[in-house]
Amino acid sequence: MAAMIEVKNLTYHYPEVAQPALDHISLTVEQGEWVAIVGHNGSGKSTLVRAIDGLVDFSEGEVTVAGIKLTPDSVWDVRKQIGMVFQNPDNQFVGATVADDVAFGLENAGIPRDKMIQKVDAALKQVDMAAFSDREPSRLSGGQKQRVALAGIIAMNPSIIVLDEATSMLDPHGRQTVMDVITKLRQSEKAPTIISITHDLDEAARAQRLIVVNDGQQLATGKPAEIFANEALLASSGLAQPFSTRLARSLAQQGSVHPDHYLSDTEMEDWLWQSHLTM
Amino acid sequence: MLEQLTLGRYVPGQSILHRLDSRAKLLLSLYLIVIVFLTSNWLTYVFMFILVGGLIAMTGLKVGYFIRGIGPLIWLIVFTAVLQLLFTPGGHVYWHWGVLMLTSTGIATAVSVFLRFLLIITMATILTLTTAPLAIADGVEAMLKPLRIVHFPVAQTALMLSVALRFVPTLLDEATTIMNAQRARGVEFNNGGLIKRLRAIVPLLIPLFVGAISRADELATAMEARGYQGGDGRTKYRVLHWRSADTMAVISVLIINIVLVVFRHLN
Repeated sequence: MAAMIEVKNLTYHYPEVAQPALDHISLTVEQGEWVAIVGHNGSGKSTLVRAIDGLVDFSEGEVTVAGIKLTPDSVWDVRKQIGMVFQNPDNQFVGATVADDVAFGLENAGIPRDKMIQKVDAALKQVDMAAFSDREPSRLSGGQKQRVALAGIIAMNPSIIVLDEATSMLDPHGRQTVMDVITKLRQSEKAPTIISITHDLDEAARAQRLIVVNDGQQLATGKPAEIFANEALLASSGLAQPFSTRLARSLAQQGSVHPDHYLSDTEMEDWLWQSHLTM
Repeated sequence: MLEQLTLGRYVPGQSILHRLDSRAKLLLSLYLIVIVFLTSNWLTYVFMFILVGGLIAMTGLKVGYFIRGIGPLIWLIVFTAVLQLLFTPGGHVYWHWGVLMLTSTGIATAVSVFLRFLLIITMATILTLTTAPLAIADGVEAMLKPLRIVHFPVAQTALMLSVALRFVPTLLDEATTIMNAQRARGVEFNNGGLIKRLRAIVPLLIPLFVGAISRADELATAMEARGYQGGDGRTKYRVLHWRSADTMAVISVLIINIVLVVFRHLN
């Protein structure tokens, strides 16, 4: 697999802040991979993806996206490769109606109108919002707005989709529908590379790989199961433990048998069924 | 309070007036408002009122919307008419006391000011009730287009207008939330004298401004991430269509103008 995103030695200081937001960070994301970046508030996750999109000017280091090195001249070419969904559904809705908002990126790219109409319709269908195309944002729920934001990105057909805490302001149902859209996208023929920044451990567990970021540095990377099994790492990076890990620990405290390695919720369920049978 | 305002509100519908091109509607409404000042005798007023009544009927909306549209402005209209009534000299003097007087010219001016106000407000209400804010923004953009010759940033102005309109309900919601939050902390918005009330506005205004600035910042980032590089080289998703009904509307307004001029010179 080819590397889609390569970050080398990236460093960024916010003006008038001594502590760097990104401190010599290096990482690689493969093509078609789903990577989740986790870390506590202020650990530099958002700054990292914004630097990759050329939205913050980093002072040191090198970013290469889909073979294009990020420079002030190439920034618009890099941005064409990346579609970003941000946290607040209200503050990224540009258009006056759903269809207008989905069309915004296409308008910027100078796509002819008849093609634009097809793409907007197709993208809205993909996120199940076709019936809402002439609605105004104030009449939509947060989850619906976030689906529109996703449609705006799907219409552009980027090779990378970045979800910058895109589900953090949604209720569990809205979160689920956004995640379902992403899962559906992953199954499509030309599966995009996905980077999701999240505090939601269930969401993180769906990714193929986790990157733990702390104080602008990459603390660890690995499969969700490996990271979640490492209690010391979770504690030092200020992350919560997943439910199944907490359950296993409670079982140990009660003195009963408990699994000796990390299990996801469904794996835990199976394990409990089986252990009950053999007990 | 903010929800009851009908002036400038849009009510969705399917009437002929709803479907007219927004450029035609905007231009013709302005034109109709200007030619209201051609009214002079009772014939012209009767004609204009029949016309406005006809337009209201054409919108297919309840008359209540229009009455409520005039409601908040009725005091302004009455105030202006009363001033005209009491301070206009000329003609036959019926009564006077100091500078106050009641003259035949005064009565005539007061009546015409009152009627013209009524006509103008009703016509403006017809425009806003039948035209979505977005369509008005599109219409304004189309009308600004000639200014490109003098390097006026038409596309940017249009985008600003459409973003502003899109954020009106969002900011209204936020204002209500902040107001309630401050009320919960003991700020009284509807009590006390002028100074006290003005001071109570500060805890509402400052968070609203700060919120708007951070929203603008996030919106700008999102727009940039989606490839917005300014007005040039963009295509447009939304286009306006000029139909035969729009041409008909222009012709009818011109006929109305001619009729009005003819009626003005009768008597």
